[in-house]
Amino acid sequence: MRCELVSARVHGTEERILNPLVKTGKGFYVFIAVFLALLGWSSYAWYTQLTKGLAVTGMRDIGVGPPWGLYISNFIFFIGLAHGGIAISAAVRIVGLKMYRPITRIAELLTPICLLMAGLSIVFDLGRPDRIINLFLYYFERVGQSPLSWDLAVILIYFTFSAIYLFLTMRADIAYCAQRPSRRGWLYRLLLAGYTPQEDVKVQKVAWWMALCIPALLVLLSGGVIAWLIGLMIARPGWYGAFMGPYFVTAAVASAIAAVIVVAAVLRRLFKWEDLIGPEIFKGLGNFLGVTLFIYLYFVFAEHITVRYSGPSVTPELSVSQALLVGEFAWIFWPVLILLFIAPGLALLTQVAVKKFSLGTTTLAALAVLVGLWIKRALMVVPPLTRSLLPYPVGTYGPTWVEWSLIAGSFVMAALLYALFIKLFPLMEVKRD
Amino acid sequence: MLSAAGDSVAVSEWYSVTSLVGLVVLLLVGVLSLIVVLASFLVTPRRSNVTLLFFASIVLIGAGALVFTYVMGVVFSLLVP
Amino acid sequence: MVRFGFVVDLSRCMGCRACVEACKVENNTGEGVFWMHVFRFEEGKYPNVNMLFVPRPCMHCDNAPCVKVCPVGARYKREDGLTLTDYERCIGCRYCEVSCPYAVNYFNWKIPAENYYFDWKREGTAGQVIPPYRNPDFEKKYGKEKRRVAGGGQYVGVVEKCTWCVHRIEKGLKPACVQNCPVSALHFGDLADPYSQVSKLLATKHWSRLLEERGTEPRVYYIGGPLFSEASREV
Repeated sequence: MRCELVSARVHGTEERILNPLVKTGKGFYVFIAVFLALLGWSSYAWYTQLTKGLAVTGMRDIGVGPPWGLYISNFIFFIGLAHGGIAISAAVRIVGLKMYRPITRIAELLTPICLLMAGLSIVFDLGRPDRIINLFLYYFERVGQSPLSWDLAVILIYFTFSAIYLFLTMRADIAYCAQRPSRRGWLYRLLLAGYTPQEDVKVQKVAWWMALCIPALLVLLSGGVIAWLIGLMIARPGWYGAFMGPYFVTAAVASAIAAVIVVAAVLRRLFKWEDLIGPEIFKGLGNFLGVTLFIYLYFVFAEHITVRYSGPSVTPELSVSQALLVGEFAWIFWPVLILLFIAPGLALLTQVAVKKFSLGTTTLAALAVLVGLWIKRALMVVPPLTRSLLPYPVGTYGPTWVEWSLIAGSFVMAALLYALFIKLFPLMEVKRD
Repeated sequence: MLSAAGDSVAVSEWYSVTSLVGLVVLLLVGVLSLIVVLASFLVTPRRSNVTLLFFASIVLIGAGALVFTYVMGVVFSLLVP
Repeated sequence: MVRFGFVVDLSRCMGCRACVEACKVENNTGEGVFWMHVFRFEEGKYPNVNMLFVPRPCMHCDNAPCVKVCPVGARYKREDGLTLTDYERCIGCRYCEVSCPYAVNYFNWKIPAENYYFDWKREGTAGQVIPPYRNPDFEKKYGKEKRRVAGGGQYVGVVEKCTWCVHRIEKGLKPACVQNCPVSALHFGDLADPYSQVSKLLATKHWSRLLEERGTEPRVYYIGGPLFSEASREV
């Protein structure tokens, strides 16, 4: 085992929190090597797409295939994941649920990384990524009308605030690391520009206000502009309507909580922080996830009931519902619904009912929910794009290796960024245990 | 039936309604952001360095986004035919 | 102020697809891309069974959803009523394609060399085969706004659609489909001029529009019979 930091004599909890920065095992190098190789493969896939055009994907024009596919559903998925950070922080600071304090930074770190990956997914989807600057150049001309412009604004604002939140609340811990001799001292000192220990009082107060306002901003994001990207389209049966807002917000919160559970559980086991991150945290998160899941299932149910009651009066919408329940997407829809939503939901809520808690079950349920929600986002984006209001042929979709590679690349990139942070900065508050 | 030039009613009317929607959305976002920004000023102790950091970060991230987008645009334009 | 409109006479259209062909030749669209489309239906019960053909160019809607959603303003509406796409500004997000209820948008999935029927750069004079006509009008910029909007397939990764042959209208000509219809089923002109043929047709005949209830205010009017309905059998 190689020590990254020159010998330091720290004791107890601080030593254990700083362990990832100090010690780097062989497993880490294997992980980096494998993931960098995967990143290389994704880059090759992207090169193929850039030089050959989007024809290398499975997307096509209306009547042949969906013009939006997995890239857009990946984007929506990552936006959903980004909610976890500020939600946990708000729970701690505003509502006063102090028991979640140990995982606040683990959750907060997910947010800027997931937002970056969401942006990356959009860039994957563009036909002319060399012209992205146009989104900024013509922003004020279009912001009045285009939901995509609203998206750009809200995502950028959210990213800025969450990055600042993470940075400001981290400074006290960076100061602690800077006191010890290390090869990264220059980085710590750079980030600590202007640091005085007294600033912490103000930082906590500013953080309180941020934890108050940013969740409201989030509702405007996932219940608002992202949903309106979809819900304002009169052209698309199965999309148009006021329904998308609450539907998206519930899915976003569920996926965010599930992600926090999984990441926190993995890190806890990896760094042997079992007593620092107590099981009651997972119990609380698991209960919340269970409830959110059933609210989400209610939305799925309501969506199909509404359309099926009206029947042929809403033929294009019925066609979408048919495709999901009995048609070409049914082989995905039902397994996802039963195995990845209902089963985990029951597993989580049963734990409440019988008052027997298992961290393994909760983590597994959360992982199932994450996978299920990724697939469900795709099921939400694609079928309405294969149908039209006018009698065109029904489109078909077969995602290609390029799409799968790029999507895998976004997850690989997220993991690498997270790992980089783990090696540079403490994942929990060092001083205020 | 159609009146001579009367059918051109729709264009500006509906686009201005849409713009109102956009305005409302961004006003909401703007108000929330303003609260956060004001908080960085007004909470006590009114130390300048946290406020300064706050604004420096906003500027850095904003400028960084623009520069990054521009550079990526240049890189991509070399690849896209 | 000129306000262009398009009138389709359903009692005359016989489904020959000359308009579809003319559009393709005029606009150099790529393989599989047909800006003009003609629906084919069978209607009625024996002994009154008919074929119904419904030509569908871009509607150039007044309340166009595609114009509203474009994040960079590449899809824009001109004062003369045309809804056009600026190929130099489009970032290829396909939001206009997603938002169009009439599905008139086509995205350039392939690079031009593979998209066009004939790669002018590679195949030179093509030996014995007469190469497709390549319209020089497409290099020019049109309109008060001076944007590059004519012709198809020139850039990978941008969206294109029927332009009502903006490069022909500039010269006072009619769109290629209108010009080439052998039975004069298609009409094009200035709706603001009460004496133009389109205005006279709309003033004297009963007209309807596709998906009117969606509020897009399309500028393509159908006369000469009812449009297709749920009872129509698409062929």
